[in-house]
Amino acid sequence: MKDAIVVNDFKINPRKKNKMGFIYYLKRDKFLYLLLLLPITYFIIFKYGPLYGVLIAFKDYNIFQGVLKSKWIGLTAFKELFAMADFYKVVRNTLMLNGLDLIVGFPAPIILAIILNELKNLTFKKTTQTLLYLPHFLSWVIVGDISYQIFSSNGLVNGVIKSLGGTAVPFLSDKWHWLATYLGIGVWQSIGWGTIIYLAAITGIGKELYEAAEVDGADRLRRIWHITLPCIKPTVIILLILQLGRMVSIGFDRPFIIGNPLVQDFSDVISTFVYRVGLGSGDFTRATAVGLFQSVVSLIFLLGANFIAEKSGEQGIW
Amino acid sequence: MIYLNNRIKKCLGLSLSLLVLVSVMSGCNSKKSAVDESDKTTGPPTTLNVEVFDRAKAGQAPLDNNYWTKYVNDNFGKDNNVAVHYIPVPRTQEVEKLNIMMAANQAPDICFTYTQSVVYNFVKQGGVTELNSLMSKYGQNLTKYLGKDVLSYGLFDGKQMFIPAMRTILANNVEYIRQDWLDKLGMKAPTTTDEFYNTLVAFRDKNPGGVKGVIPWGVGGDVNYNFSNLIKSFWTKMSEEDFAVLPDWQKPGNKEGVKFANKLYNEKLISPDFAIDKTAKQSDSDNSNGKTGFMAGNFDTPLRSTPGIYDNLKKSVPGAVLTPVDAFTNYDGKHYKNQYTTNGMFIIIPKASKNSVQAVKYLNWMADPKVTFFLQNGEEGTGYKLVDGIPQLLPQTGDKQMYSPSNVDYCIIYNGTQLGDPAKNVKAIAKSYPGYEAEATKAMQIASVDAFQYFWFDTPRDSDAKYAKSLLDKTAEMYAKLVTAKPADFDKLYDEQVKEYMANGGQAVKDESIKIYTAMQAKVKK
Amino acid sequence: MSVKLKERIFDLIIILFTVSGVIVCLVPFLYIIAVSFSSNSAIVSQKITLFPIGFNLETYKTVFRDSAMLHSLFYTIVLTASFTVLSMVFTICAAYPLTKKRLKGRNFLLLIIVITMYFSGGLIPDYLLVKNMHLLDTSWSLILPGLVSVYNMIILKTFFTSLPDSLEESASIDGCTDIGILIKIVLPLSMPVIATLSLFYAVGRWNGFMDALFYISKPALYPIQLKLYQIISISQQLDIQQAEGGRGAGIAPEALKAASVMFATIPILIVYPWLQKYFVSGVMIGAVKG
Repeated sequence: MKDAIVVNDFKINPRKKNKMGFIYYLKRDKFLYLLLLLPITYFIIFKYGPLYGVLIAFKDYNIFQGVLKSKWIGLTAFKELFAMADFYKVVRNTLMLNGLDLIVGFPAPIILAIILNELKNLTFKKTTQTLLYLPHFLSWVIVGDISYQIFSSNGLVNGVIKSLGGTAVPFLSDKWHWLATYLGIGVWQSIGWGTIIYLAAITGIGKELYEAAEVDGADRLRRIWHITLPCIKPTVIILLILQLGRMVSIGFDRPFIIGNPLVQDFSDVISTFVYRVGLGSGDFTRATAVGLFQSVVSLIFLLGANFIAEKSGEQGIW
Repeated sequence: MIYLNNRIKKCLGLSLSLLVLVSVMSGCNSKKSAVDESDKTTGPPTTLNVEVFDRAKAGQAPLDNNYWTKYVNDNFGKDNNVAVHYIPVPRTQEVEKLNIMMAANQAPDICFTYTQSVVYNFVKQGGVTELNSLMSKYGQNLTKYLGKDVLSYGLFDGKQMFIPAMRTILANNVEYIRQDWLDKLGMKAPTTTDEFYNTLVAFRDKNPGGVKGVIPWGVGGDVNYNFSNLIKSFWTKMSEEDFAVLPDWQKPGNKEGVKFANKLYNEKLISPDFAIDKTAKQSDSDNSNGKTGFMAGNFDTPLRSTPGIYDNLKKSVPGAVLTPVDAFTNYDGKHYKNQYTTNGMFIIIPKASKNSVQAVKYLNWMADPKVTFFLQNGEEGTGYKLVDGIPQLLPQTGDKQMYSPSNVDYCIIYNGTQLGDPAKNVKAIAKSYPGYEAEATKAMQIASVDAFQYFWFDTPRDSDAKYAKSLLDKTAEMYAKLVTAKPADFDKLYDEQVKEYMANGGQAVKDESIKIYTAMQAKVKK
Repeated sequence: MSVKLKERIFDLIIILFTVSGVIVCLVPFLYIIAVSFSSNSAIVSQKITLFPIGFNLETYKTVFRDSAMLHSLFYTIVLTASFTVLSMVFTICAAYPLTKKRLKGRNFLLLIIVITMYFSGGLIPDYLLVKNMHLLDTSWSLILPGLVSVYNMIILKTFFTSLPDSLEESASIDGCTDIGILIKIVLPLSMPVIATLSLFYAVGRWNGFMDALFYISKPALYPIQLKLYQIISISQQLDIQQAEGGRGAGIAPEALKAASVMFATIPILIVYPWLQKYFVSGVMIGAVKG
């Protein structure tokens, strides 16, 4: 039957002269399709299987009647959301915190990876790498406790400041200072871990490139600028695109635990909002509506970022 | 990037419809059968699944197989042809897990939670078994020992939708003061708010403990809780309706109360970092180090073995003495404070359960005083010893341990020790704080002086279920901002914040409360 | 300034920078270690900085004597290892074919995969699926639902794409089969990335517990982080303590929390040093030149 379609197209649309049947491609690339069978099955069963759940956003979800039998309410939940002043505040905060994380926290591991790569002593290099990513493993509950001890007005840092004659800095209680503290803690927690992927990329750079450059008289900085950076560019670009796709999603733990009632104006984000008005009250409809909003916006951001990257001649996702 | 020609469009269409079909099929719920009221005392034993909280205590015995579960199966199970199984649910995520289990018809036959809005949602959505006929057939003990009063908290339109556990201690907030500091200053314990203020000022200025950075009143953790008695003492006279329907923020006198707290903060009489001390770690530490002279919270907070405030205080500052006080007086000279209502945990039987008969029988059996006593105390000699006629629990090892106060995880129908006599209950609770029995007794006594209970609505309020959590968070935010504000800004800020509170659900709750209150009054008049 | 001196200064700056970074990252860990060896009264009074006060081994004894914790640790190790292997296999199976631009339907397949990164059915449909497949209370519920991370797959695909085509062309000219190319050429050259992604999967599975919370009711199948989360988070929830009244609802002493954190974290920390041997330059150079 497939050949019949080809023949029809061939007759109607002479431009498709060179199109071969699907069976041909199946046979030619059978190994590739076979490989793909495993993951695609996974995606269909475990990702598309439950996808009907997005309908919850359009229904007055009754957990006992199930998704299909619950009453249809259309866009009511969305209208309610967009009418809440809080909603805009949390979207703004999410974008702001993620944006700052991007500006500060995205380049940080790259710079650190490059620095680590310049270390000459192998043992020292390996040890520092392992030690630098320790913070990634501490759960936010623990980090919250520790940051309180360090940054509160009677904490470690302020203790040092006071003993040097200064006044206490409201690291956690003033919202602007809190922003800096939040960012700093984020960088501390993720910088070491973030270097791993860049170091993996850097190991792929052939040594002879560096040797040739050295012969040409380039010093360390120039070698980094002209060799290391360009070689890890594909990795950086792809991670940047993926990161931009996550601009409206934000983890729950960091803002919730590092935040406090005094800095609510900035620390209230989409995830804490959903926790409060959605799951905390058993309101799945609203939680799903917010989630759907995030999904759509994220996909748009991702496709947009990818489009820009590809137009600039870089390797995007596709 | 992607070019959608005809073939790909067809593929897309076909695959998407396939995916939707797969999706829909996996979403179908199986049909639920009607409630089974048969007795099933013969034939193979019925399995009864009961929820149990898992508190992840180090070295805890299997929650499904220990001394207590064996007792239940030997004494209830055998006689009723039932095998009782316990399903552990992590304590800190019990609400999330319960929601999921209910949605999947996977919940145990007996479930419970402390969160009112969760139960209301289940009832509203029709997922809970109505218990009236089951109670009349199999629930005599429950009706007798929990009492109609407690059970009425579980009535919705005359239908018994859940069984409230009975709270045996209603004591809520009590204040504690450093008696040794008072002695040093030659002052008496404050009995009015004015005296309280003067005491705090004296603590700050005269520093009787000789501490660096003295904090007269250590505040931390849940701020609403810390200031509860203080602010309520500022409430002025109000009608019963206002008392029932107005949110605390709008009650007459509330503003003055918060203003007073703001004054205390600005005069450096309370913990400077209270607003960011979310877990009370800092205040616990300050209290234990002897830096503070006054603290307010649960009636037993300093007496608990974890975090062990009084224990540590005695170690860090030899000679330190904490005494419970009733420091706040209102316009009437009374020590106005709130206490708990007599209902505790909410126990439900999901509609999907096929063993509701056995479930009610199980709860009924638990209400038998002999059974209650055993579950809360164990056997004489091994589990407890009698001291002045009151059982005092002995330390246990192995699978006889209780991981919850008064073994509430297994003896779910009571929050607190139940010996059948309120006076005995108080004594037993006091005995559970070895070394601090006097303080505990005094604190419980203070907690009952001039105590009131919040109004109970006989119909669940949708708006309350919807907004409770966000209003709670808003309250915390308001306290933080208002108490730390500059005194000149206070009045305007208070009005602004209350406006926000009302706009974010407060008004909806108030409106619905008025509606239900009026309906309740009409019923009474009939 | 001579080149040699410039180099020396450069090296020095780098070392200083690195060492200060290490100190900042290490200090909180040292604090927790100190807490885990200290006495409770010292901890509540906040006297601990970097060294234990009231040194004792009691809390560690408690942790190691807890057979449930030990069992959970071993179980989590086995679970993490199996998950990582399976995940990597599936990820490679997805990434490699999608690298080939000649594959028909490639863009479409990639699109439907990327969509799943952002759109999901939510908690309850996921749970219902696991339930209907009879996977509740089995280890498979902790392996299958999260098997492939699209994020990781895209990274792998990017790396595969950066390998020069000439390699595969010369190999197939030499008569190598498709399978052969993948196994003998592509994978060995991608070891650093594969090691990295394996690490990502392993750590993700090790640290994850939300799925276990919903899918597992048998304590024997609790991953270690679920147990840990219970221990440390109960003090965050003040409303639990208020609702249950009296005698504190099971808050673990601070030292026990710290010891449990150490117990649950140290095993996964040693994976990366072990994996570092895979972070070596590929043998590409010779191949391309040839």
